[in-house]
Amino acid sequence: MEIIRTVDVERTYEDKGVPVHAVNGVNLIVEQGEFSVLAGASGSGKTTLLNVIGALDVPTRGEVFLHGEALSQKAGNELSAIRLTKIGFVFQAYNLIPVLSALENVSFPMVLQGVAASERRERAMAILDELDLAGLAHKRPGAMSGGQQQRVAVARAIVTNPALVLADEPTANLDSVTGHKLLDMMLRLNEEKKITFVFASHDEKVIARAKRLVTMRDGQIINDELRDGVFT
Amino acid sequence: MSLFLHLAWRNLWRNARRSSITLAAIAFAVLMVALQDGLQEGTYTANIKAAIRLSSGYLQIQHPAYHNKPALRHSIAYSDELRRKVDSVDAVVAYAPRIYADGLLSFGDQSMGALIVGVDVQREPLVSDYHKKIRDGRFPAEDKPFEIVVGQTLLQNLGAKIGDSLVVLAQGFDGYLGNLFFTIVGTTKTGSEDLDRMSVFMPLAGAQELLGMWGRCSVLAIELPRLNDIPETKRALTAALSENQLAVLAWDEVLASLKQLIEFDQISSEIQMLLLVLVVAFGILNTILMSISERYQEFGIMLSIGMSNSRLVAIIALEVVMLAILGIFIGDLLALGLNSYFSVNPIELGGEMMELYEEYGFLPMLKSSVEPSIFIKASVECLVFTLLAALFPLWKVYKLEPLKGIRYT
Repeated sequence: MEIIRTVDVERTYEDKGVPVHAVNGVNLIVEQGEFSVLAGASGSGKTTLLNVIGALDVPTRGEVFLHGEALSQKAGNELSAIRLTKIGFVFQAYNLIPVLSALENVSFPMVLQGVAASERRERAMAILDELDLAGLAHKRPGAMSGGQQQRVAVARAIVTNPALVLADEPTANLDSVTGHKLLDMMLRLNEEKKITFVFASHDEKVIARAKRLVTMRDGQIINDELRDGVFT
Repeated sequence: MSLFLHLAWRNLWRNARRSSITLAAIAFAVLMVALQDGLQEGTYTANIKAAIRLSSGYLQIQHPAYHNKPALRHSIAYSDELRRKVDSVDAVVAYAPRIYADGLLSFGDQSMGALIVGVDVQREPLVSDYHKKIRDGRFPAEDKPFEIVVGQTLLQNLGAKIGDSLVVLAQGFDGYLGNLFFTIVGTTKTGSEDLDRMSVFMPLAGAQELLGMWGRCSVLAIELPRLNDIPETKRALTAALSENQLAVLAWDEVLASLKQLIEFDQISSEIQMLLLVLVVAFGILNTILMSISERYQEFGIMLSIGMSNSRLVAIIALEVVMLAILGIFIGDLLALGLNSYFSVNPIELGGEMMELYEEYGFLPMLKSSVEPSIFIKASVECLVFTLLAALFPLWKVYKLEPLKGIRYT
């Protein structure tokens, strides 16, 4: 099933009066259950494309469809609602709210959704338990390692059962071992729960795990390669 | 909702020093406004009550034309009917008839103009403090209509002393010139320079005899339990006297200049306080701006995961309101302590300040008040200014885009 379709998407910035084509005519379809990586050097446009797909940025031209719905037709609050219900985000850094515990951070999107307190706690604890983070439930981000924070961020991203999870350089601030552990966990979620992951990364560890590798350069896709053939 | 409350509360103490400074600024503003208003309210009330007890009474019943033209022909009949009607109004504690007239005092070779005040010796102490202002001698006796008390300065100017007799001349009610001998039995020091230089007090019967005003008086001064009783009692008296064509005036109508002086003083103080609160508000604006600019990346993440800008604004507004309420509480508590102290222990003014206050007819002291309205006003003012100071930072958050937040450095 198709989750994302981009049609001739362009994103142009002005940099000191000079137009910069960060994304330049990208057509991409993401199917349910993918574990895809947008790869490329810095400035290739992978993060911009990820932001456009995640309704964090608006394309200068072209259209993004999420579950067949055109995002350009949506108002700001509707885009907020889409991000809340259909998309999970994992960023490179500053992922968690520092004054909230791991449990509260994971519960946070459910608070925004209006889920009852008892159900929030139950679901958040279940996710933390599943990701071996139950022991961190009442710790605040400042008392966790970078890897633990990123794993809690993944828990927060999937707690609302989104259609896809977008991860922008999630391993960039982690050491090699912690990065591998994080990827193992995300891969397991992809395989067991059929959660769709799209990464923007130039980390070899991430690229090595990709089931689909989309390589970008100068805002365009230059290679789109399936690694294990069939998406489940 | 409770998570948002927790979030707002914890955010406050992420930078405890900054929050404490903001808290102190708000508390200081509340303290200053409440202290200033308390001292004003207390001092005004003390002065108003002193003025009421020294001259006007809480209310006065007069001829409708008397206030603008206080002539004897605009006097009123002090009748049984009038007394009955005034007695019928519950809030009236006491009343006393007075005669005011201009006259001339003659003692030896000296002649001086004077304000003649004729009072009911028995009733007057119930509505005024004239009897407490006797410096030497005594107040006239009830059964001695031709005894007189003379203002201290006036007595000195006449060169007379207690026990002397003087002649009082005045144009009477019918236009004839009345003149009678009066015996000086006392002298007053009222605290009002004008009264001490100008006035003489005599029994009502003596004044009526001198001026041919038998059964009449200039005004009827009314005593009430509290200032707050004035509006309702005025309405009740006006209704009771509707057929008598009499005017009922409150103290601030009788002493319009005192009322204006107080209003002018209030306005100038309000402007001073407004400037102070504005300065504090700019300080608060600065700290809120710093607080949110430090958290733009965090806000960006929150917006990315689906929080709406309006909800984010609500959380930050909640932080500001929490800080404001805490600051206001501390400020009110401090102000309550100080205002309580100064309401029991007024600041006595001395030297030039005392002379200045007396010149304007004020008691030379600063007394505070603990009226709840003082603290409510200070709290509301400071809350409003704090929220106004937060508007610009909140607007910036409202317009924040997720990516701009995440990328903010």
